[in-house]
Amino acid sequence: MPRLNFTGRKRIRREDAQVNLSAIGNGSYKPELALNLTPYDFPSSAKIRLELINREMLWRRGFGSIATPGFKGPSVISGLSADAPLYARLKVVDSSSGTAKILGLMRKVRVFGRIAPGQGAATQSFVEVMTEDLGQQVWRLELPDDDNEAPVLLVNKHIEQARTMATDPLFRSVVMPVVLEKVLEGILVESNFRKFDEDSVWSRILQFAERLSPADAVRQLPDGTIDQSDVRVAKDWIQDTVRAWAVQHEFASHFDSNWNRGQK
Amino acid sequence: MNSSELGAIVGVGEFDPKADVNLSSRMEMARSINDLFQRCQVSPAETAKPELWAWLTVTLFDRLKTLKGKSSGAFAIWYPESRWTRFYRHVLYGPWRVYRLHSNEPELVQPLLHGKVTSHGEFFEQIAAYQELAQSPGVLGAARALYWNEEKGELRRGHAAKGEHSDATGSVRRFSAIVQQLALTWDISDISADELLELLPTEFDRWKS
Repeated sequence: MPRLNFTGRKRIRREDAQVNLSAIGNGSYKPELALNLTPYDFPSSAKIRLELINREMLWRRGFGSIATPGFKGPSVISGLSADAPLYARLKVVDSSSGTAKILGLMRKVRVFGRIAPGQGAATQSFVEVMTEDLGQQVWRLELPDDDNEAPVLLVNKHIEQARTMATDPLFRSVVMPVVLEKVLEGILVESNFRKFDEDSVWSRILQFAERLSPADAVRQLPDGTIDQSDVRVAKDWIQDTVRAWAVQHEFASHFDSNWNRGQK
Repeated sequence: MNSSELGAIVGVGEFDPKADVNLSSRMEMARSINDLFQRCQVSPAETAKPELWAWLTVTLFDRLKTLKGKSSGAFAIWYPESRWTRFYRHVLYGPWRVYRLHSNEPELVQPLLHGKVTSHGEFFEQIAAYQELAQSPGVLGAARALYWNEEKGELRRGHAAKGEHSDATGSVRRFSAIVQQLALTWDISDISADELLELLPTEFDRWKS
């Protein structure tokens, strides 16, 4: 599978940049950082930037420098909602040359908000499950543009027991193979086989799929176009992967037993 | 948002979108909504709620539907959907959000908010769809320098070209793609417009004149 992407910046591991939010009341929070950046050997003058991102905002503050880390001004963030998961991203930036080159980056990690709705809801291995008002649709899949965000399976919140529906064997056996197929098509085919970081969420999803069904690399031609035969190869591989996953989870058997139980 | 929460906003004496929202252009619409929210002290938590925007849309719908423009019937334009990848497309929220981010320098968003209320536009689509781009004064400043005709007060011809032909080089679509690539190496939230213009490849040279 295509891989990217070495720009010279260092990947900051999640365990070396812990970001937490402390509630201070009235829906406001104060970010707290616990950093261990010594192993990366950044210049002491390099600046540290914290970004907090959700569906409708990108909050950004400086966190001092490698030599003197810490917030220098107001750092309270307000108006957070558990319905809009919040992600943190950390950048170490070289300011010595004038242009802010990124020396180190921690990709987005979730720091706030529900991973899955309520108690007992499922978190699938390759998709997050959330409830939303979907009108008369039972479910919908959303694939983000950012390769470090997980696809989201939306389940209609007006359906009784929507929060646990994703764990129901009948629902899973019918819906999840389609979801996996659409996710892989989105990651591979619809994105024109674009390259993304090895440690991104999408890359991990592809690794999960490759464990189900080994794949030959699909090609992106030098001018950025895609060979149509590669599209067919990719789609065939996706079908093989979905088939292997269904065998692993015995979806047809589960469907049969649960469907028949429901009919009685 | 339940009816009492909504009522807490709409019950504020001066909150009258029908009277106070200017629909003559997207810029004026965004500006007037922002002024209204500030005057009525509508909080960030409240403006983040899709229900408020759905209510605003319904309240203004009789006026919105009479406006000419190239809006599609796409659901996300009329009903605010929860994820940013769709939320920004809302007919009221998207322009307001961009204006709110740069209300201290509204000239930065002139290219984004140029045109009729119900005309989404390729320029808006290519920039506003990406939070990091929409929030960066440097990116918006560079885009304005490339694509805004100050004399005529409009976007330069050809900015929205698509496809593989030579006319598409240096288009706003290419600008958006290139800047997103540059964002892997450079902190575009901190970069100045001039610095970003220096980093762009030669295909943009003809737009710099």
